[in-house]
Amino acid sequence: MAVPSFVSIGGATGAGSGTTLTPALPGSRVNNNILISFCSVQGTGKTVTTATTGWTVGDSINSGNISAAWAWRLVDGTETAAVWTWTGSAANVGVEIQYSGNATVSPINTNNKATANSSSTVTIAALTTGADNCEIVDFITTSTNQTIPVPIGMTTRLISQGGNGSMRIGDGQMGKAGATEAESFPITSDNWVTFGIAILGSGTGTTPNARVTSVAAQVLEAQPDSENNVRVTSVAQQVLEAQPASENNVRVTSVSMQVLRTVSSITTLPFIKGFIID
Amino acid sequence: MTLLMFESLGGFSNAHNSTYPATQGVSMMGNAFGGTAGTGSWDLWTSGGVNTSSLGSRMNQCSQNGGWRWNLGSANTNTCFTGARLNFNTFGSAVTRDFFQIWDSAGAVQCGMSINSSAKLIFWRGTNSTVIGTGTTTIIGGVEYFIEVGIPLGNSVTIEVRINGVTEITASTVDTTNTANQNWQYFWWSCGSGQTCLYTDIYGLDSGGSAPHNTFLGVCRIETLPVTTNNSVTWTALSSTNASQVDDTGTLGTSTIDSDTTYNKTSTTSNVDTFNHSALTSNPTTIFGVKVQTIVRKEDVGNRTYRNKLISGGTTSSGTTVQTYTGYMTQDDYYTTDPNTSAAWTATNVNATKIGYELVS
Repeated sequence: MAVPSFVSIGGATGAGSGTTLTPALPGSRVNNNILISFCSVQGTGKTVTTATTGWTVGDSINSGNISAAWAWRLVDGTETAAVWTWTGSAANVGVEIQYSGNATVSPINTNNKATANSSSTVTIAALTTGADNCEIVDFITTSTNQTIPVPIGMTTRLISQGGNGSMRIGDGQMGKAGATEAESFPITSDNWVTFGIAILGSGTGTTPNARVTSVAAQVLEAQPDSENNVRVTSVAQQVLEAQPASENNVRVTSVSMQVLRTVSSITTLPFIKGFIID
Repeated sequence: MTLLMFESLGGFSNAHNSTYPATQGVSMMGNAFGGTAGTGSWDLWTSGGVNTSSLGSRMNQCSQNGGWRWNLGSANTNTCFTGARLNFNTFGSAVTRDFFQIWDSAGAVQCGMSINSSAKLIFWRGTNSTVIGTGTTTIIGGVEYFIEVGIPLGNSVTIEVRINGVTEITASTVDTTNTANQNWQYFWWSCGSGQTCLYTDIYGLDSGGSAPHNTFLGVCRIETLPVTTNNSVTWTALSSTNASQVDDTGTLGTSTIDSDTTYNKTSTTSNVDTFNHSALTSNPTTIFGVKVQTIVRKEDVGNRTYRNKLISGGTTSSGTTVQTYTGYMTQDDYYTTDPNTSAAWTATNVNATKIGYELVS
């Protein structure tokens, strides 16, 4: 058994106003796979939640200028898309994503969240997993239309930009229980929310290797004169002079005479005569 | 401060423009240029591959607003000195082309350099329409130049630009700040639209250190010394010898950096590999500095820290311990003097060093 793997994602959805959002279910669903639904609302203090059958709200945040939440459920053939609701019309965005290979009992191992207003640095706190073979999912959303950088080492599953809010989802595998590194990266100053989620897989993981592909020393040195030789590849002298008459001879390469004359009848008689005698 | 960085750019290409450490204080080959680099890092944006300099080293080619940018990671109020070997190999039409900028701590342009429509070098503030000084040398496409600039950031300062070690522009009591910030944080050797530039031998320093690392270095070069044979190894080679797995520095005559095609790996902390490397091609009159450069990644998102190693004589030095990432990153550690003698480097001592790395945790 191993770390959960990404399967599919539904299309990002959203609106400039409203009090409800239903991100589409991802396609190619398989029983016991885990679905995670995200919803982000541009408003302060809004309780974003879902009461859709089978969905469990994993966490929410409403302390900043963005209110957001995520929920999960297992695929069992009866699933419907999570319907998110809040009070007071606001711009909104959301999406649903599917993973396979997850534990079917308590599949969420650990999670965290963070938010800030008018900040130019997004921070994702370290997650400390309590078991081997977890899939780490990072969800990042902002208020405005901008490109959110991918967290370091994560594989991007969604990039969504728009005036209703922007989103990025990335994931990465973690073989052994322990801490991920905290990350921070710059964005255009904005309100933002992040959720970090560790989806539990199964079995005993392996300690990751570090790989080195190149080693070299670089030396900064004054350029020695011996490496700045001047190379000469051709030497010639050219003289501008009046052209001497001796170099202006007339050359004749052929002399002959041709004569235009009549043909003599006498010269043909001996031949004709002899032929008749024989 | 002192010598801040130097880089030959030898083996890097667009293939490495993937992930980057945002705030880890490490040098990194390139995310797409967009103002998102982190502390003490560099961005590379190239669209033209590599070429060969007159000294036989590889030059990195960029075009159409591409370039190479250093981010110091914090505001600096000392004079910035930087130099690079350039070849404007596709010169473009007779319009002004920017090729250098220096930015403040907010990422806003303070001043820069261009080649104007008469093929003369100009130094400007804000944009290339506010000219502070104009050179006399006619810049020729396809010819290499070593261009250096010394820029204090202030309202009444003296700037100097040199070509091939000779003063080209000097201007006194000029304003080099286009913003309210009298500082710099980034410098960018770039390439304006309509031309293609080749770069190598880039250095950067500030005036806060001691000689010779506090002013113009003059015409200089960077030699990259790739790994040749094992010295002492404990990591697991993908195949063959450990040295053969990490010798892809991109220097002339070797392949470009091949990422997961050849590598050494370990999950055991305190494992160290060290290697012998090739020798300098000559005996330089001055060695301004040595750096150990390794390219490393981890296999999943669990924490892994790592550091470079340098052995000089009887002294073993460890570089800065850094996080690793699932995408390959470059880790540089600089030594302006020989750790074994605390004096300037000599060619003999450089040639005798061993270089390598250690898994810390």
